Amino acid sequence: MPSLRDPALDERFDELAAQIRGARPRASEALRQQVAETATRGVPVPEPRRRPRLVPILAFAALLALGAVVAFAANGLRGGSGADEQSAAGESAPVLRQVAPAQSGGAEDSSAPETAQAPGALAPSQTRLQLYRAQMTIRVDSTAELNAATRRAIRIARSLGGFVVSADLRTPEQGEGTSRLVLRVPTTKAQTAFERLAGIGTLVAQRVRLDDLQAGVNRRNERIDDLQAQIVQLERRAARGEDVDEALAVLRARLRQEQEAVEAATRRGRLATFTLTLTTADAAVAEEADGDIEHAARQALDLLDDVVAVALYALILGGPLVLLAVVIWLLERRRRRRSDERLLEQN
Amino acid sequence: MHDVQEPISFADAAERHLDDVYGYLVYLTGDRGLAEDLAAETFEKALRLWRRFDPARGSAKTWLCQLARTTALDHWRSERRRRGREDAYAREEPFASEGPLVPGLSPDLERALLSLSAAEREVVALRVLLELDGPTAARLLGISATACSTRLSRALTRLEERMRDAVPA
Repeated sequence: MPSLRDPALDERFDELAAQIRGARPRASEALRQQVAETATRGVPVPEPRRRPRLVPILAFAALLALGAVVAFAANGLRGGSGADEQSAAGESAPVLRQVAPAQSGGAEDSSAPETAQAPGALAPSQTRLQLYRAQMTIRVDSTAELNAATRRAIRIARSLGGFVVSADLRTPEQGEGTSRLVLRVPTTKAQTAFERLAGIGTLVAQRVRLDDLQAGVNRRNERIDDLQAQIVQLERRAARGEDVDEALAVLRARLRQEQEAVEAATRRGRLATFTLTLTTADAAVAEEADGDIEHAARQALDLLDDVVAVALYALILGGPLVLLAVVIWLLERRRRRRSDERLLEQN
Repeated sequence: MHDVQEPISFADAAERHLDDVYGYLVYLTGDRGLAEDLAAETFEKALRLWRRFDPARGSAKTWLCQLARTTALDHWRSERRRRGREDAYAREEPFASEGPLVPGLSPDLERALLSLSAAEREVVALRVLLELDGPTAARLLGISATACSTRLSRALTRLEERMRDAVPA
């Protein structure tokens, strides 16, 4: 007779086991017939639970709460994103980025723009030479409007004494259309240009940068004055017969350099540059010389930021609820098991 | 012996394991009549739930015995509620059926079996009668393998003692 397979048990139970197995209960013919009839009915389609159980209800409630939290968090994040909001015609809050200019001072080409007062109100100074650069993303409703908006932007630039540096219009058969323009407008008309261009559609993003060139120009003008004064003195000495030709030539060369630098800075500051992106897509962030890949990557990263933030939010608020549901489930399971043990002991 | 995966047809499973389920319920309830009722109810339930049976997770025998156990426990719960409502006294005799519990068992062994609790008879049925291995039986009972082994050892020891006590000096 085979012994019990449990290695922890003594072989002395082998005979007992053999007696038990030798008298294996057999179902009566009535029971056998009844079960056979049951089997012929075929496996039915699963029935829904009639009696609701506590644990699934709690779990469902926890999931509902979690979903509400996630929705709230997503709404909150979407509505509050971006630094400042600028909307038109009830559009959703766009994402804006505004460069905060540093204080003036330093070299001619140093970044020393002025402090912005408010979105779209970054006006160039009328008394100082400045390098004005603006990037604007404007949304229009359709591809047809895109063409019209592009022509309008060009007319605005020309009407203000400016011109078009480049224009790139894309209107694919499917998907979003885009028009990218680089316009130059007299800096004195920059604010007017900004306001008119913003009126073409819905301004969804802007970036304005002002770099002060005046300080550098002033320093060069001081050097120019100084050089001119030196040149005058040397010319007087030359008139008295002194040999100062070489020194004069050097000073005059330096004077020319300084003057050319001032002219170049003046030319740069004379015209403001507008990089305009017209699009039929939803809110997009205006980037400096942003290509498609960079734009897509930045959007993906923004989305990932939002997802992580929402997940953290849900975890912090929903976590305790889920934990509570799990604890209740474990307690219920333990209670039921103890109840079963008591039943078995009592019967 | 370890349980192996078996054919998935319900009719095959019912035919093959009817005696296993019935035998288990006889041992569990200590009542042949009740065991028959519960066996029929078990297979009714098994038919409805057959789609949930996954042969990869265990044999049909184990699955059916688990279902039988649940059926028996549900029965006792409802009986307890009924007795509570009717304010009836609890039975002291473990069974009230006619004839021996298990034909072929010696009267001493049968008496000794009936003196065990349902929990003890149950583990004897699973491990000895149905020859389920330790881990499978433990899983079915919802206890650890160690606890299952301990319970079996205690049950068999008690059986042995009761049978020894029944032998006339």
